[in-house]
Amino acid sequence: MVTDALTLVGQILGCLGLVLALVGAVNDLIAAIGFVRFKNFFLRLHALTVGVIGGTFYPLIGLGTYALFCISPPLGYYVAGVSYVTAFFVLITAPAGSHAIARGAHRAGYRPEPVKEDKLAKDREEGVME
Amino acid sequence: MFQGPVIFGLTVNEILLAVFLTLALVFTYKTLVEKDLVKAVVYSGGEAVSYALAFVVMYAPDLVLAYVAVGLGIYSALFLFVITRTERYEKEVVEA
Amino acid sequence: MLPLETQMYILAGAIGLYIFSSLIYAYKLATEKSVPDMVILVDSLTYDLAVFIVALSILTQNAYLAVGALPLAIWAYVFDIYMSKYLEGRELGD
Repeated sequence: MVTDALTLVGQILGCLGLVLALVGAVNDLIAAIGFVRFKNFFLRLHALTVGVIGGTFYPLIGLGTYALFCISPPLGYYVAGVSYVTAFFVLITAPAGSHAIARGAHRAGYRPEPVKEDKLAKDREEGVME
Repeated sequence: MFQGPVIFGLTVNEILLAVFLTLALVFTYKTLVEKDLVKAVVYSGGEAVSYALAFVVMYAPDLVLAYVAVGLGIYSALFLFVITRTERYEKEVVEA
Repeated sequence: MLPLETQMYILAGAIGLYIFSSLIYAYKLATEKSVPDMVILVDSLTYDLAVFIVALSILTQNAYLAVGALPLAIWAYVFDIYMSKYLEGRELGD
């Protein structure tokens, strides 16, 4: 009885993970369309964030949950471990990487196109920041 | 085991293999004709990712490990280090 | 809950969407002009490939295939760091 209830809960969680993977795929398609539509590097960083967190982190969590509950144990545990660890490292490294590339692009002379005030460039001219 | 549909006598795996290897060919050509060497390094990174996709479709994940580590990591690091020591733009060779 | 065949079709649909967006990324990468844009496009392509590997490993019930997902994410980050170091005009060791 209890085992049946736990199996049902596991099935529901696995199907929710599958739905999360599908939503993540749609997010990734939205990010790809955003890369085509945005005109500028600093605007395209928005699309990159949608593509990384919505299109990689959430589907990996969903696929890991699906593999943990809906696939027979040795294979399922292996795939679940791989996808959870990958999701953790993506969550840590991708924002750091996109920040580094944005900083490098601003130093190399790329500027945001519709700009009202660029205090970072002004600080660099005055010598406040290196 | 999920069996995909058969389209024009080709399975899904063969179609995906053709698409990704064509992508790799396009990136290799762009790497060859590019005059800006930094862009050429980025194109070769895209070529490495395309080959990795092809290897995944061919069920060879060990080759994926080796190819991405070399083509996206070590190769680009080495070539960027060399480009900082020389010039970024390739000059036109004057034919004698 | 859902029958097994429906689950597999949902997974195959997600893989199809990932392949379609990968093709859009590749087209954009082949026609792009500025270097930081190309770098973040290669990033997005690599993260796509990581999810594609895990989904294909579940779809074909082949655990050996899933091993490549983690190094892909790490090497994309390393590529970012190298390119940003170059764009800032510093050496790799600084």
